[in-house]
Amino acid sequence: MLPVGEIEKPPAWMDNRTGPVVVSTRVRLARNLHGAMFTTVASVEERLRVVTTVESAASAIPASRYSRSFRTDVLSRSDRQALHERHLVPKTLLDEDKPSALLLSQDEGDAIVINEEDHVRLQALRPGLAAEEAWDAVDAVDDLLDGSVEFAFDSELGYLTACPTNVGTGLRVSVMMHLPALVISGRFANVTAAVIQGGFTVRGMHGEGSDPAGYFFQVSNQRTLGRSEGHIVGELAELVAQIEAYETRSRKKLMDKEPLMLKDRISRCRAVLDSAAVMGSTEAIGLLSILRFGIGMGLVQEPALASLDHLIMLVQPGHMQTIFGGSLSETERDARRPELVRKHLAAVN
Amino acid sequence: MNTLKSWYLTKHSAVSLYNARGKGRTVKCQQCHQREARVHLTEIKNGQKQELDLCEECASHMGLVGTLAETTVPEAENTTCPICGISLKDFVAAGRLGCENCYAAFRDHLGSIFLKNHSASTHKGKNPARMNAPERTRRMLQYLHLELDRAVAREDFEKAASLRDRITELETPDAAGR
Repeated sequence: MLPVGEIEKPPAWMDNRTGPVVVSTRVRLARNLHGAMFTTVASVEERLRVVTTVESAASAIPASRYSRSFRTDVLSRSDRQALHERHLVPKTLLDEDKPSALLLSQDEGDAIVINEEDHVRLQALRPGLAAEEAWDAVDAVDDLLDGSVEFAFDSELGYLTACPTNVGTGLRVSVMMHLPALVISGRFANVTAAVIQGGFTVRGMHGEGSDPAGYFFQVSNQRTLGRSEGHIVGELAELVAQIEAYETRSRKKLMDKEPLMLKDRISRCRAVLDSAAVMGSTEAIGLLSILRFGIGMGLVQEPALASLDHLIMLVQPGHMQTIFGGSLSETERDARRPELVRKHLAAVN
Repeated sequence: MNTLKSWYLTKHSAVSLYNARGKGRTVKCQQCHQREARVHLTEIKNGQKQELDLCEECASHMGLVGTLAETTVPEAENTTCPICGISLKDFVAAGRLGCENCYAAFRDHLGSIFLKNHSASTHKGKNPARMNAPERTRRMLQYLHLELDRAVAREDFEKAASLRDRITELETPDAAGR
């Protein structure tokens, strides 16, 4: 597990390239080993073989960035939860007790998840809109692994994945967006309609099956077959730029038409953050999200966006458990959260 | 054995439409407990399989029937992958295949999923290095030409120039034979 000191720090990939609307980009590439059963039916021994094979192939990469490795199946539930909140461990591995692993770069920006739905998932996380850059990173690792392992591939269908919704390129590009103005002004439904029509999806903060928390949404491609990787990356980047422009226009409109309402909303949120004695995780994310909105609008000066995004990570249950040690009950977490928030905000101010 | 008339599939749920479960036996809707169940919903939640029998009215209230595809899959659940042993029924219930050979075993049934999900049925992306040389070169060229068109369209001439160089390199007889 990451040492507590590290869990308290922001992931190094999160820097000031994070924008007020486009938060971060994640690219993941799904691959399976040729000749091995998919994880759906693989035995414990087969899963172990996959872990060993991929780990040794990754360590043979010249100047490999994957300096750390974890067996996620032996980590505690709260450690896995904390890694999930850092977008490193997928939801499906939270309860998985069969061999699975995570290889991680020092800055947490590059990862390989082993034995999730597919044997191999190459991941790159980057701040802001960086679909090309993140794709180039996983593409390069894929080429290097390809030299030592053989991936399941069909000349007509492309890379074969456990779920046919990922077949072909196995590529999923997700961009995390912060869209408060579109939600507040009731225009968000237009975004959803356009996204779905274009063959994309929009989901909550932690991807599939998660609730939209604090106006954060992930926009990602649905189609993985019949398009080249460059095509998928380019189309998604264009869509994200359009949504970003729409959100920016909506922010300006809100500011022009209802500046008092906006200022009031942000001041009230600040007041609750400053004096609440009990704070749930969803509530905290909601309040910090409004503060983020205020920073983006120039109504609040501090903290920097990346520092606030780090705080949004810290207030989540897995991080709270790790930082405070032991197993806090939900009530205990809610009671300690305001103190954590105020300490963080005071430190950066 | 129920006759699967049509089915709809998402990653974590499957819906099948049938007349009645078992011969000469009807099943009551588990929602209203009155009408005859016509829809069978299978959902995987936290790794647990949950099944629900519903009448068409209750299913439509849950937004299910409107999404049923008009695909006929006669006796579909009898098909089994000879390599991993997963049946099409297992796949429909869980949404996941057991091995790479399942793609061949369930080819007929997967075709509609490809069209529904991807609006396509052929791979146009990158290829592994192991693919035989002439086939790989052909596909690589096809891929590079596509990328070149896109780069030109968005006026990224630097990228276009590097793509053109790679195309020229691959098209020289020396490289093609490699």
